[in-house]
Amino acid sequence: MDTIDDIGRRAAGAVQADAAAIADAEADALLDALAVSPVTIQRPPRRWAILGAAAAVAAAIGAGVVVVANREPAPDLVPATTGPPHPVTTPPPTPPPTPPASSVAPSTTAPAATTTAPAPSTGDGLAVSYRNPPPFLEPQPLATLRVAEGEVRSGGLASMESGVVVLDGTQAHVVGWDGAVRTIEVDAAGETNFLNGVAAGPGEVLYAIASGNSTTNMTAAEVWAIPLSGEQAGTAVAASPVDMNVIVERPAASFGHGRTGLVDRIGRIDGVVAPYVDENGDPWAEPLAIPEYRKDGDVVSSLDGSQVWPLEIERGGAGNGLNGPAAPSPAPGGGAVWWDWIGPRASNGDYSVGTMEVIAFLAPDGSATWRRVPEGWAVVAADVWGTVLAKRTGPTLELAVATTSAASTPPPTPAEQAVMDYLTALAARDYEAAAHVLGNDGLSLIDRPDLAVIRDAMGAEEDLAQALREWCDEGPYRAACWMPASVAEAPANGLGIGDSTVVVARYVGFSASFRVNSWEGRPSVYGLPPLTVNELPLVRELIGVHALYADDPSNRRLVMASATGTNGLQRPASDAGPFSVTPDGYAITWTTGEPYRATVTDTTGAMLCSIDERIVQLLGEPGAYRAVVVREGEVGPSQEPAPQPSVEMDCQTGVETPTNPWAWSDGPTYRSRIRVGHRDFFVSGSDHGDQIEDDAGTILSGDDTVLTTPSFSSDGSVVTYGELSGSANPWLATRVVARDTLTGEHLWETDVNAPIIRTWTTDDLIVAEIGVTDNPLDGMSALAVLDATTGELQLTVPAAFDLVHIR
Amino acid sequence: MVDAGRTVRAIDPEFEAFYRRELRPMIALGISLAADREAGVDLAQEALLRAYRSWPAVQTMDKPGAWLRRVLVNLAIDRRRRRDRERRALARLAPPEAVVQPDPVSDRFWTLVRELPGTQRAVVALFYLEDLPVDEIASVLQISDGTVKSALFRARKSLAAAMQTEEVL
Repeated sequence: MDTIDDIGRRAAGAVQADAAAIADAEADALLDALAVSPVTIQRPPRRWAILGAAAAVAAAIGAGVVVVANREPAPDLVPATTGPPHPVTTPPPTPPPTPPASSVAPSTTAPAATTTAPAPSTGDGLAVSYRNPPPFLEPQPLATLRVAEGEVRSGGLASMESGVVVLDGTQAHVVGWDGAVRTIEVDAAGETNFLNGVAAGPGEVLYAIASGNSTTNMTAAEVWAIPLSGEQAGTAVAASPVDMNVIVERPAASFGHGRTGLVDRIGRIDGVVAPYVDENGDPWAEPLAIPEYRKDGDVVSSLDGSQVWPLEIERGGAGNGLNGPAAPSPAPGGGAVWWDWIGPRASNGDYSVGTMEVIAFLAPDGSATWRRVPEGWAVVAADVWGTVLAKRTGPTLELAVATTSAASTPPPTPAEQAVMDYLTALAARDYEAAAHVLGNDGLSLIDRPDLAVIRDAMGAEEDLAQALREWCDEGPYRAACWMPASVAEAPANGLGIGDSTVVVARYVGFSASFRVNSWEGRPSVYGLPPLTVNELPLVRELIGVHALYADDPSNRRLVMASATGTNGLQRPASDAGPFSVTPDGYAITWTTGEPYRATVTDTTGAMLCSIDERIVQLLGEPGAYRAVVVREGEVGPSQEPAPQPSVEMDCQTGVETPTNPWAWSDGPTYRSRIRVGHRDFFVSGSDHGDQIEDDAGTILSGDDTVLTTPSFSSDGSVVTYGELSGSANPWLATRVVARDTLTGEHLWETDVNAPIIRTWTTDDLIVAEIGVTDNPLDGMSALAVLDATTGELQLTVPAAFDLVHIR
Repeated sequence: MVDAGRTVRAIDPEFEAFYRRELRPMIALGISLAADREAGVDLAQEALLRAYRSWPAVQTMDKPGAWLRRVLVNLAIDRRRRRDRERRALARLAPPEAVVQPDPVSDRFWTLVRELPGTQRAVVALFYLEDLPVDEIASVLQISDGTVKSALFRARKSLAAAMQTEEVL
């Protein structure tokens, strides 16, 4: 008869032969797939699709800029599938003066907008209120870019006749109105830095503000004219000096087009900022006839006074955008656009920005249509050729065209969006973006116990992205880095903590909760996605234990996952107390009351016995269970804790037998017995910590302060517990200690650098429950799995459920 | 103007030698740990890709092969977690061509191995496929020798019981 070794080696031979055949057939194809880079990735044969996709992402990140297309290998810089709704190829003529058409039409004068009562949003009228915000606009997708540096607002975007220019370091990406993308390297002339405030056109000429590296004139700057096509593409063909003091910290689209050159829409610079030139640097021949607009209070009007929109705005705060109020800009088809932030300020800080960005589409007939800009999006460029929105998530920049088209379904709230952005980034393995959304205030190791699961991988604060990468992808960490199905805000009376918002992300098959708050006006996520009780089989498999039991209070059941499957035991009563399980995992006990009634069943729910008492510990074996019951006795006057009357009760017959005390109590001090196999151990102490003794009175925990319920191996030879000394908090254990129970020998200790709720000991593993906060009642955020022999941390599993039993 | 062109990066000859040396055992290890043959090949691909991406660091390691195996084992555990999603994706692919006729006993053996807990699964695969001694398995998986022995003992016991054969201890 074959031994298992015989079979194993024969099976190995079969797999090796199979592998050799595959390797011989496809080795070159794989190597070829590896060798293609950087921007253009050849799609490998289908067998290698996964590898190809990963290679494409890796190569693309290295290359700096690609278009993200559903995580498939990027064939090239490609447009979004949906083009802009209103591609404009030529600047429209200045619209003729339009007389007022109705009571909401513009007047020829500019009255101040005054409101004394909440002004309802009238949809296409002039009034808007933060209390009744207008519908969200539906961004019309243009393209998605990966940008190497810069911010959405300050990176420099401009609308021109042929499309949108994105200035990204020393590269200019030209996104056509059809979504096609081309990239031009800009000659940066040494140490030149490009600042914000670009405009483009007429013709294919970008006007970018450049500052040198001068140490003698810190305010020196120039507006460079850089052709985007032609023989001198990418090279400055003209320069106009400007004062840096008046060009920094500007809102988007703050430069516009006058008749002969760029003009300052917000009025800090009089006259022409930079004259127009053509691709060769020669003066632009034809004067432009693009309308210019101004804003006085909340009244927008054309410079010639022919059009006036007296907007009525009720604001919830005085916040603007990061760089001040926007200037009105000409819009396609005549008229103008203007945007503002009408919601409450993001915080009470001195530099707090407004919230609830809205945009007014001001029609030539004097009417207006207000739309709300979806969270995450911002107006980044506006000109007669188009109004452009952008949304930045880490290195990904989405571009879209803004129109009056309203979204059919309400977009997510900021909190929902933040969680969605975070989880989407994780699912896409875009760790830089995920770390960005996680928030800069998320790096405090003291304030963020939920980061404990990745703390070992996070050597320095700036390593958060790498830590996330290891956590999800590469290292010995495990995480639920999956795409959520949806997110929804929890009920206000649900999980709210402080002033932050709680969001529940619903995955396929389970859900996770997050706290969301803001940092300098940006939403950030607090809480890494844990596995829930619905994923108990997965957690069991990840940890590698025989069985895992957890309470599922929302469904009123005990969930049990083992190698043979998963089953649930329904709670029979509405006030059932916590479950307890015998070491063999067979008998399950819970108590209802008062009056107390303890029920014992097997894992299928079949009744084993029931008594009208609270069970302290269930002894014995199937068919012969004995329940230890402790009854209240007098608290003795002595200094020692008084023993409480204890009995062992035959669970089947109810016959009581007096037994040695199982509990002692004296107010703040206590002592209790724990039986493991044939050995008894005692835990004694107070709120300040415990110690563990054997039945001979030998202290097994040395000088340790035991802060968690001790956990024993099945034969009682090893005890583990959370210990105080690794923590600065006197009520918090962050160190797991293992000791031999025969000698008290200190076997090992491991700092998990996170609050330990309790430990579980199996023959192979020690599993430590890591708390969400210092308070165990706040629940578990992760399981830390340690080698039982060495204490070495093997694995952390983000998880949030009420663990009942491990074996 | 710069045209974003198509370039082909030369493969480091040392990586190519490493790759050709490790491809077969990695595919074998992947097949032994994954839910099916196709997914096993994917695991090998992904592990080798990571080696390629990190080659400057990997080539300086004392035991790059051990690192590669650990990456694959970790990927296998991660992949297993997402197995439902994988199954759906793989179901859309054409069934792989059979290169070797399956041996029912071998097939049953690996099916049972894949049902073992994670550490046992990896230990068994490395023990039988790679013929690695305990200390090297411990080095690959970054666990203690005792854990390897314990896992191997339990795995053999479970496998023998399931195969209804004798265990060798």
